[in-house]
Amino acid sequence: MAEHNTPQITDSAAPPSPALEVRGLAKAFDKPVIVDMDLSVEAGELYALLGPNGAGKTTTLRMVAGLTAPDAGSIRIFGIDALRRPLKAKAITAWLPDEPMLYDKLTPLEYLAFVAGLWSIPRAEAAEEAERLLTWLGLWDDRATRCEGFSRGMKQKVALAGALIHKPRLLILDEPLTGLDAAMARSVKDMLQAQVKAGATVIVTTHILEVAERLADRIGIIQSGRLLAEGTLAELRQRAGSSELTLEELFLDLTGGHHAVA
Amino acid sequence: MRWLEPGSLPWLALHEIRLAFRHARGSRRRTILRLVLLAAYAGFGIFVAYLLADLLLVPSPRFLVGGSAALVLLFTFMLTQGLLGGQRTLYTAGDLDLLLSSPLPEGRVLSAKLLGVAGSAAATFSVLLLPLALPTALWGHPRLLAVVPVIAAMAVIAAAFGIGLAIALVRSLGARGAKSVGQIIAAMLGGLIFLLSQLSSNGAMRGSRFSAVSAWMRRTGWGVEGWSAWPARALFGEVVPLLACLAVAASVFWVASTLLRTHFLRSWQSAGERSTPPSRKAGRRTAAVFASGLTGAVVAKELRLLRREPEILFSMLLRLIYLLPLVFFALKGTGGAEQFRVPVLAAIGAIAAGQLCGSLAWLTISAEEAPDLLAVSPVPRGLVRRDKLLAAMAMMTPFALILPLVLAPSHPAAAIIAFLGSLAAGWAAGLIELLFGKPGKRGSFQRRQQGSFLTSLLGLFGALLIGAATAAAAYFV
Repeated sequence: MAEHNTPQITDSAAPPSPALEVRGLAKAFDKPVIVDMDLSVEAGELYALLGPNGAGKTTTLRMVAGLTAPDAGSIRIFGIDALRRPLKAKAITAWLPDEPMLYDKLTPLEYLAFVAGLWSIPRAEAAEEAERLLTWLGLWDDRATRCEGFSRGMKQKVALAGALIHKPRLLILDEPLTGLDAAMARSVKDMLQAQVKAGATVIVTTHILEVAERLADRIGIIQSGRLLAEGTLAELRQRAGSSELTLEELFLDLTGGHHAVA
Repeated sequence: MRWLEPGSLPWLALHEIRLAFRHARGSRRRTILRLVLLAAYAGFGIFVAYLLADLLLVPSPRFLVGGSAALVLLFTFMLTQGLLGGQRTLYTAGDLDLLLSSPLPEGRVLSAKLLGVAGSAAATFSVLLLPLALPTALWGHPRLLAVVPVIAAMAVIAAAFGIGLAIALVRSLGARGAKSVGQIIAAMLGGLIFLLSQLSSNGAMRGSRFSAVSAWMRRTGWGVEGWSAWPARALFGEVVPLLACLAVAASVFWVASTLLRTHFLRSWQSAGERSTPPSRKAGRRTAAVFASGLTGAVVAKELRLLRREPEILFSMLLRLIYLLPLVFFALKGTGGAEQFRVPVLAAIGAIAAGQLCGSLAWLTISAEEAPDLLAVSPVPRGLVRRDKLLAAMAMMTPFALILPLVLAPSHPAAAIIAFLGSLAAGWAAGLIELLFGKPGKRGSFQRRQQGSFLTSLLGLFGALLIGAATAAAAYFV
């Protein structure tokens, strides 16, 4: 508690940095994919990024994770300029894509050992955390089995353990529920809530609107590389002028999806 | 395909061949380049046909030796393709899942797969052989048109044996073991004739595999007299041997389709089983798996991956057998003079180490399976790549030690120089891969040379240079 008694004029004067602050982000491949995107995610919240296929969700998050270079704009993760000091930003961030970044020939334990090495986690600490994560995710009995024989759900769990082993402050998950059965999807949702409860910030993209509706503190809806709307569910409803609308109706209304169906 | 009855054997077989062609097709630029080369090759074939127009091409002993030797080599290559095609069939489950979930009899599916593998093998070798053979046949030697049915018959036989071998391996070793062993056998078949030719030549230099096989045939009479000459006679258009070849191919196809049907289904089922046995070290302490620091983690990971894919290492080592003529030259060609033999051996050791380390560095650096994981980690890219180069060096070192250990009792100083030369050549080759390597997939090691011509050329040049320096140092010591 001593550090709380120490006067910290700068910290107390300045508002705490958002977990993620994106300003004027732009990216074009053959055509513009992300156009002047502004996005802010507060620390300790679960933020759901929604959008139709090809809206630019994954590209945005890949730029945040440092996998794709933006054409313009800035990205700050907990105040760290992720474009100027990428290693510092990556040290506190975890990225979990829909296709797990795994090695088929490694066992879950060996995979975690490698990931822990990349994040320079002390050996004993990493081993202890690996045991905890594998037990928690129900993978302990399979810790010495090569991932090549695993189902998609099990592979996703191993990748999840890899994302969590360095205790990230910002966890970014791209479609984490794709292809998972009900039980596995439930445990991933529980994990997301547990991370937020433990103080981490979670950004998740999903096609399953019910997940965003139930779990997310705030929701962002993007289309054609632009942020169309952002806020809590109540704020989005207020904006639409009806407190009765479901998120699905709001989403279709904003993205024009119902016209396409009709 | 529209004129064929959907679901019939020819329809299925054509579908297989179409897929094989699409798999092999590259970019537009590469296709144009291939067509230009093919046209040039066909031009050369027409020139050869012009030269041979007035020559009497009859199955004389001299031509029979040539024909038989060519067919033996062709068959080993086709067998390799057959085995690899069989493995692709069994392990690329998406296609078989669809076919075997349809109401088609599995025997027909197997027959179509056999014909598909045979068709793609025949097509590959037709491109190599027909531009030479067809113009000659059409320019005064019509009997040589028999080359077309002979290639087809051999392709069918090779495909049947290849798929049969792939199935037998799965049935006897299980899916995982069969995959590795199958790839090792396929790699060995490619180098087998070469290895045998080198071993049987008692150390004397041989011109090529073809001349080695021809010499063996002349010695033994095999492929020149009696039944063994029939395939070559068929090649020269003799009717009875040609019909016999086609009959053998049809019989082998029928027997394979009938006998392998049940085994095929079971092999596919077990190849599709994804469960793998737990490793024996499940009981060891968790902390023992974790390495200290980045370098330890990277090297441990690369070593684990290589240990679990022995076929890749085997393919790399097999490439080194092409250095055997140099070894024989060092042992015999230097006239037994000690002062030349040791330096040449030291140079060969360095060149081999360079080649091996270049391949291993490609595996660790360019064939990374999870590049995004490394990209999102808080480690500079250069640092990880440096550690991957170290991992390649660590994998190469046990092999680089073999020659120095052999030399050490009699020539300790030369042994040290040979080892240092090997390390230098390995480091240089790894560095070239690090600087110029192109990303690839681990499984595509055999094809990597196509994508990184510059890397290979630079690697070879560097290895030769360091090899020469090593030889000079060993000579003066």
